[in-house]
Amino acid sequence: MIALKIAQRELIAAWRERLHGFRILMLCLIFGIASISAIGSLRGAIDAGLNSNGRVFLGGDAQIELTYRQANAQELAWMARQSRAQSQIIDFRSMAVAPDTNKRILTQVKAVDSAYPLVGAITLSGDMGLSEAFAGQDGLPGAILAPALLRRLNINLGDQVKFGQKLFVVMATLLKEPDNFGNFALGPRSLVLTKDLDGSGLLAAGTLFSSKYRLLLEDGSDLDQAQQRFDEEWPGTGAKWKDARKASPGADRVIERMSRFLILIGLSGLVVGGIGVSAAVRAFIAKKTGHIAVLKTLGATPGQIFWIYTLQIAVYTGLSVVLGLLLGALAPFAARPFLPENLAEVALISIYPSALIEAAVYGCLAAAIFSIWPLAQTEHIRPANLFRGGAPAHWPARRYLLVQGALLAAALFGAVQFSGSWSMTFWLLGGIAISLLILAMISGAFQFTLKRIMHRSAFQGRLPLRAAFSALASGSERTGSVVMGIGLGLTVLAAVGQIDGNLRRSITQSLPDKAPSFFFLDIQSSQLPEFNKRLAENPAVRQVETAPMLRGLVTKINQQPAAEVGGDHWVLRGDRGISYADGLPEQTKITAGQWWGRATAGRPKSALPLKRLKRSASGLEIN
Amino acid sequence: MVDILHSIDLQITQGSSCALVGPSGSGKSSLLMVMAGLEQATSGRVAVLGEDISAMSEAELAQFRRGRVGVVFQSFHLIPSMTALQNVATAIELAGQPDPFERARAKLADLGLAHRYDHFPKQMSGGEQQRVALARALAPNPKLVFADEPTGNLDAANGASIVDSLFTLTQEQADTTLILVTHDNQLAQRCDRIIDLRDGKICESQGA
Repeated sequence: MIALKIAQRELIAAWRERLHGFRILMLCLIFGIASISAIGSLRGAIDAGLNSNGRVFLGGDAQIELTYRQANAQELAWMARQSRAQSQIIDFRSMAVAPDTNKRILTQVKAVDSAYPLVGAITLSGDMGLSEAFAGQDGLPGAILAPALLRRLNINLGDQVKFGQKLFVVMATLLKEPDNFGNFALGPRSLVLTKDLDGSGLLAAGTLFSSKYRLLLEDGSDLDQAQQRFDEEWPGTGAKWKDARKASPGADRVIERMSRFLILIGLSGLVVGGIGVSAAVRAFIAKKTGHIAVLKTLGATPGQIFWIYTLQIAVYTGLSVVLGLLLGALAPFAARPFLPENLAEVALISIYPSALIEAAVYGCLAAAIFSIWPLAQTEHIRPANLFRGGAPAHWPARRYLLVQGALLAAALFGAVQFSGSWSMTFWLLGGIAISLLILAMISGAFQFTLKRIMHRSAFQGRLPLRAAFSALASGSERTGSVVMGIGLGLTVLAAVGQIDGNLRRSITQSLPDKAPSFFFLDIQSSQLPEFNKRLAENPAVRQVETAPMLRGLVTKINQQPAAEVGGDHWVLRGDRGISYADGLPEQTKITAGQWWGRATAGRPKSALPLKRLKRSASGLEIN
Repeated sequence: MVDILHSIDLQITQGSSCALVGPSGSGKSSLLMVMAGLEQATSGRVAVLGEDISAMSEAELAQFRRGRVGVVFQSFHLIPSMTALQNVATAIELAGQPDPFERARAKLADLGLAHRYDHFPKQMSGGEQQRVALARALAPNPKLVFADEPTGNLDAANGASIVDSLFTLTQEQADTTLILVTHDNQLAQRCDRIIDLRDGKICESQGA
């Protein structure tokens, strides 16, 4: 109780002095907490947006996707029984051709039926309706093109465009397509009616396309049960189920990984800030050495002294947490205009308590971990320091070390829980620990060297230089804090910069060396001789490589159903591309086993990403 | 390691006043700290107010000092973040005694500082600060008052005033023993006993 009273008196005095001596401590915490809470709030906003708009992004309650085929009558009947409305979409890549100029641009074609869209609304230029746009004009069916495609083809609304062998008239541009969020596309979008593609030759056997069946389930349907029924009815068909609970798994994954990474970067910032906190608390305690000695003279016990100053640090931490959370919670509102357009549309910017709690926990733990050591030093301040001067630093008593260890373990557990990745957290925190160790060694070596060289003749008569170096050499804790704080901050910045730079260099420099200038897909075997002949006639082409491609499902492993062996491994999900060759293709590396010979007979052999598959498929070996 | 005090065998009568004199470095302040329980002797036995404090932990020593030991420093050592009243009341609070603020007000008034209750140390003169320090040391009615060069940082007039107050107030408190460290012979002569220290040893003891 007396500790609380004295702490209160000192807090009021510090407030009168405008928190002089605590500004560094508070700034360190505020910025760390604000960055973590801002990242968390933004992630919460995007998650909430994705979840609440799941039906719109998916275009229905659920979707069944088939590759290179459409559903058969039995499958269509099953879908009709399970839902109250269905819509089919066929998605494929093709060339959009401007007939007048013969200009050709790759486009991602979405062929839809009259029920499209089951959920949400599509926005076309001129507020045109879909049926009006598809109706076309002058006897030609209508097509809707993305504005970018129109620009690249150098055509206008009302002009003709050719898909395959069939002409369409461009009736409108596509302004908003809600069921395309987070989807990967190789070209700008084109939208046509599926039935209008008859005669185009685009959906012939061997064409690479996917067909998606969007379903509207009965009101109150349980998506878990619906998926369970799908799993039971569609085994081994290669069909993929997706529903409104996770409408954009790709976007979810990217956002989740990005936010994990950013939160860990924020944590690094908090560690840097924590070093600042530690230095600030140490300076605060050093300034209070006289007061502490007086209080002890008056009869204050070491425990009371510890609590007098711990309570003060707790109040400043609490104040910093509140200010940091306030900044972090408001940051997404301020950042909205600067977000990429698709994210700004999706994000439901609001206050997300879980993100704020996470940041507050990190902030409090960082403050406690980094201030307990200097606070424990109050135990070593003796009344005799009033006569004999400052108290030398000691190792804290074991109970403080135990508390610090427990706090570190809690911080580690929290970081793993919040980031969701053991390996990423351990690598990051391990990296920080090793960096701090190296920086402490550098600091020690620096001070040792300074002490050795300070008495050399070069420093004689140079008082400012000698005084500055002397302060650096003797102020071991201060020098160490500065070296570690600035050093770790620069280490984090340099690491982020290096990762970014390496990724960019890899993409801009390495990939073009290895990647071809053009890919051509979907060339039938019968078309290959003519295709190669044309390329040979083109002087710009210096090398052509072809590879046969089959698509298929892995249905069995070692004569057992694949799912029983491999579970839900991604290799077993949907269809996989399978190529084949007699000889080992150039630049291909065999990691285990041997390449089969040209005269191999018997069972066909295959090469698989075995290591990846083995992680979930126990017992799978070469042969 | 340096031996500061050795072969000290000293008993001081309760309720008396005692001056520790001697040249700088003779061990006066060290002896005062050992007797006040602010520092521990590396060997030997120290009994204060009938309790052996030689083997006490720091927490035990703090509890021993509470309300029983008052210290006046040469450099005042008031807590700058607290007002005069709070400085005095804190000592009473730490001693666990009732009505800390009322008693602090009374003690400050006794020392002529009724107009300075809410002033901070930096707003007061050196003489006023030392009077607040005196009030803080005496307010819990300690059995032992230690004063280390209490006039060392004051001019002659203020010094004389403080010394008068120190002697008057300790005499008013029954059974309170005053032990002071001083270089001032005149001040030392006011005490019942004078102990002269040289090189950590008692060289001469005059008086009762």
